[in-house]
Amino acid sequence: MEHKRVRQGFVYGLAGLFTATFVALNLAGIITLLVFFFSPFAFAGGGIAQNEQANAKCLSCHSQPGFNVVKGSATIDLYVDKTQYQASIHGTRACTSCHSDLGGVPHTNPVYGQELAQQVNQQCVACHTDEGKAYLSSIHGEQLIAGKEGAACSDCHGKHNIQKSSDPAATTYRLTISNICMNCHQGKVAQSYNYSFHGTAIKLGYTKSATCADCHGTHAILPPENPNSSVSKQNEPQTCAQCHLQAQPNFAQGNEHAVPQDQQNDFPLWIVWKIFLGLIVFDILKDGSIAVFELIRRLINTRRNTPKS
Amino acid sequence: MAQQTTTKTAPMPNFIERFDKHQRYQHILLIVSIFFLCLTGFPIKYADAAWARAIVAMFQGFDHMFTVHLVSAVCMILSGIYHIVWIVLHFKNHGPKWAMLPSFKDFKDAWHHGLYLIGVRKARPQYDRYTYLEKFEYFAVIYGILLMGLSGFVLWFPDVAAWIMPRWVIDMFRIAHSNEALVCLFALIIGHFFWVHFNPDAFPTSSVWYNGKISKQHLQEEHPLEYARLAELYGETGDNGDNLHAEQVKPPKGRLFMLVELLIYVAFVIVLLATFIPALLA
Repeated sequence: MEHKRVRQGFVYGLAGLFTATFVALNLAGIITLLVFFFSPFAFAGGGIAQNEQANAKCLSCHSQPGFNVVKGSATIDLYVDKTQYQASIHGTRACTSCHSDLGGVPHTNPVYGQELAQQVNQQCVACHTDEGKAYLSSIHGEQLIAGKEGAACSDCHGKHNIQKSSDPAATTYRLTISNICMNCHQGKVAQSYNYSFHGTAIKLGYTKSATCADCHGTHAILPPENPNSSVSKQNEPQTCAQCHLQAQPNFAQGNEHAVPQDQQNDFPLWIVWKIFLGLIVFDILKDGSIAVFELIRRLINTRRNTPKS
Repeated sequence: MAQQTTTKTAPMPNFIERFDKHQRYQHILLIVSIFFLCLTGFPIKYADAAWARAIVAMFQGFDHMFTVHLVSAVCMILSGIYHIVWIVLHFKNHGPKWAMLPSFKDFKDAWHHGLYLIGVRKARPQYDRYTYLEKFEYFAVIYGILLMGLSGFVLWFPDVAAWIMPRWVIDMFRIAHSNEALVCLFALIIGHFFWVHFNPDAFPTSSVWYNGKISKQHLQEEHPLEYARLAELYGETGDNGDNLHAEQVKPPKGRLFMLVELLIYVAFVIVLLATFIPALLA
């Protein structure tokens, strides 16, 4: 009897030890993971609280609506929407993590506009290395480096309002990203996209429809003349096949950016459009005049048949 | 026209069956499908308009609206298949009937009708079972279903279509689909609706589409040749107006009604022409 109880106690003790070890190991694992997960945030900007403190100094001037500077003939708006910034994906970071050149107050030799965008771009690609690499090899990045009016990160992603592209508030959200492209790419290319079924469906809130970025790419955009481009004639069928199950060579036989109004370049569409407009006008003239004259005849006939009293 | 087998001794009924059950079902299927096709298709053509967004919102999003469009399209094609099957079976059981086929008389009728409308001729053309306008409309519907169905399938499955046609032909089908929709819409609301709804004799609606019957009076007025043939079959004289039961028939609308309708039609036609003629000539 005594012997049995000792043995039972031993078994229970062993089980307890195992359980305790298991729980302890798991806890340690979770804590380690948490530390690793948050450490980049904790170390990168010197702590969220510290950043907020530092930013408060910047925002004491820059969060005042109408805050600006006059450079020659241009008035440059320096206002930053504090709530919007703090709600943005970078909202807990220090202002100086992007505006690295602006140490003291007043700022020494601050840059504006395209020059500023170029400078901030360097900070973007420092953290977002993969995107940065793709961007720098793209036509946008190439042109920006060459000092031309190439699109900087901020032209698409916004400045103090950056959100993840999955967030409907993001400038790069599916339903609005094409509007960003059309800020620069205007004329027929924009007109035809808005006219296309892709653009129409996007306008009406269909998130599965193709945006500019779905065909042209995002960071690694190349012009169609470049054989590596997703929209080069060679790659076009494959690009269409991202959504349209089969990669048909015929997909490349025509202009994506076509409008029926362009008689010169899109004659097949133009002629179909005109033929059907002709049919529409014929329709209105035929049915409209028959109805109108029938009514006139009936009015005349009733007058004739009504006895005068 | 099944009633033609009735024996001579029976009197001619006041209401005569013009379309049988299956024809009415085909037509109702067509009405419902085309109503929803227009409701869910025009917001895509006019996506920038506020009403387009309102309709999308009504369907709780583009996905649902577009699904309704595709389902309605299948229903429209089914109505066409139903019609073909009905023709085949009807021909088999009752013998072929060719009343719908165009003839030289239709061209004469059209000319005659034109002269009547501008007041040169005093009497309407003597129509048989189908007027030249009804025949035109029938073949316009066939053409419409074929074109909208074919172009619709090309747009629905562009990757399959690309097996046999280049991209720019697919784009041509899109222009055709989008604009033929307007041809259909105007043919319906200006042409068809005038004869079966807004026509003062029919307002608010002709009964043929729901019970298949036409009154003896209307038959004599609108299809005198068919009426004469039927009357002869029943042993009545073809032009005897005394036999008509006028009290069974809705009285035609008054002059004020016609005047208001005339003004609406004139305004509508002017607005449409002012919209589409500049686009055609541009």
